[in-house]
Amino acid sequence: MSQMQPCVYIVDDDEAVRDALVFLMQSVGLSTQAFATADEFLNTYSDNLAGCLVCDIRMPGMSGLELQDELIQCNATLPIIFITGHGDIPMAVETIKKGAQDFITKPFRDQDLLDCIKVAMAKDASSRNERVLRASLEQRLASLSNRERQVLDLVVSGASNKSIASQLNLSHRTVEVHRSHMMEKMQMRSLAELIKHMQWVQ
Amino acid sequence: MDNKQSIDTTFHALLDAAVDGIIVISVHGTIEVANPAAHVMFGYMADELIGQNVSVLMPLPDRNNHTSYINQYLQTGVRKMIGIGRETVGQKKDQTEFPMYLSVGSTGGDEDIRFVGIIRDLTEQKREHQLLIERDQEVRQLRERLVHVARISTLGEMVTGIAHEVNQPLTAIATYTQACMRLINAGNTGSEQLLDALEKTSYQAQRAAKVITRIRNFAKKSPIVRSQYDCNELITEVVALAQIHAAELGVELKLDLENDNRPLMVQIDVIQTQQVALNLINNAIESMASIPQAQQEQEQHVLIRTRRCSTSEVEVSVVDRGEGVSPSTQQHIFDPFFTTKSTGLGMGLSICQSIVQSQGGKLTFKNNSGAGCTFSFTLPTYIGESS
Repeated sequence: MSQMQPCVYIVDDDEAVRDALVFLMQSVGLSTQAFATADEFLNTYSDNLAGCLVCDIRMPGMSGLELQDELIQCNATLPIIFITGHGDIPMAVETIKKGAQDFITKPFRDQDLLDCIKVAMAKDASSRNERVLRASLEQRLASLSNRERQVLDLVVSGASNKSIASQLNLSHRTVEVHRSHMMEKMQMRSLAELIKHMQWVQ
Repeated sequence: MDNKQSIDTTFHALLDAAVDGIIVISVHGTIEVANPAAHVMFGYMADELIGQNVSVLMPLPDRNNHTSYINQYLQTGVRKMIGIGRETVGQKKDQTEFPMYLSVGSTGGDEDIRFVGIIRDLTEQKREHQLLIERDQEVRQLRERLVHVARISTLGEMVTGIAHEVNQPLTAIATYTQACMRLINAGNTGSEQLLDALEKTSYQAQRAAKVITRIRNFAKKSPIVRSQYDCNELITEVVALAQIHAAELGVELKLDLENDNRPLMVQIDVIQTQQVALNLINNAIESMASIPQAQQEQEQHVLIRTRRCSTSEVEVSVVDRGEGVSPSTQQHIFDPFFTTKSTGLGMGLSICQSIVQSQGGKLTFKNNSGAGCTFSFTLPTYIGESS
């Protein structure tokens, strides 16, 4: 999976606000990409966009709330920070319930927005890392033979080699060979590491 | 009772019973006869006027001119007063003046000519007339005030949108300046970026000010002035205001202006006409916004159209694709305090109609064959000094 450079994606129909936001991001060295409509952003959207989305709520055409729904449909994990001209609490609650990262009212203190963005980008990075790791784990799991997979499941459930041998009707030596191949393919150095990683894929 | 006595009795009965004042004067102006009504009217005791000169009943300067009028008539026969009536002013014994209607006739030959004046006190009549004028003025002022209140109320309903419209440039200004400060703090003082951002900041301040000016012009209380104005310009200006409400409710506005290569001059009160247009456009926007998104058609805009419909009339139409006017609403739609909205006074259309009618136009509506309805009003064309 190719990772893209983390970026602050800005969606606001107001040209001046959009331009000012881009300028602010640039002044602190963040890379940005700005869109005038939710549709334009959706056309560009792909799973490997990294960073966060700063989005106006009230826009002609597709609103910010509708954009959030669309992104939820695509299982997007890109954190969303909503900005709105109205201290509309019910709307804020709704977006947060649906998983928005934050909600800021216009006009805002630049530091407040930048703090939100920092948190959102960190969250995105860690969830992305986790996702990469999970994908690689799944890949490794898929490379196991049936026997190796059986051995892995039993090892993780806490069974000893002896117990595995008797459960799978194999010799103690054969179990040891499968186990060693499995640990090698899974790129795990210890039983503890294997158990910890297997929690992520379950 | 002989004949002479009978005539005398009748004569006195006539004088006594007359509601109007009757005064007979000699050629020198001496009062020979004055009936009771004349005495009461001028505030004299019974028969007190007999023998006095008629000029005591006149305020200055009439008093001084009176003798010369009589002399002039006697010498030239030119009648200034005789045989005609006119409104003039009388003076009572206590020197107060009162409005009266005086008609003068002459009687007798050259030798024994006399003048007869018949006087009606106009005080009461004048007072009633004045009251009527005042009441009329009061009604007009109240109406103007109501129209103004309605205008403010229309703006009141747009307050969320207006706040948003001002907040956008403020947000841009705050963001630009904060970013500039960051750049300066980081030592980027000479950058062209900075100058560019400051220029944009200043432009945004003007943008905010323009919104405020537009609102203030619309909100101000101003006397009705019929002036000639380009209807297309008037509509374009008011649409900029309506745009605020349209953006808030996510409805698009489209203009279809008469384009016959001549200015579309109308003779109207600009602000009140814009008030009518804004009301109709806001109604259209709200009607469209109330329809659930799923049921909306492709064509989602409110259309505002101007047309020259004759040499004497221009028509402005507002076409929406909203819910239309239900049959039960149609007959009450212009009634004061009738409303189908959850907010508002229910005065909007009633006031629109009154404004349009006072300018000599008509406000009408019809449901469209498809969805929604069309409200139209006419305005009188400005006929310039013959070109």
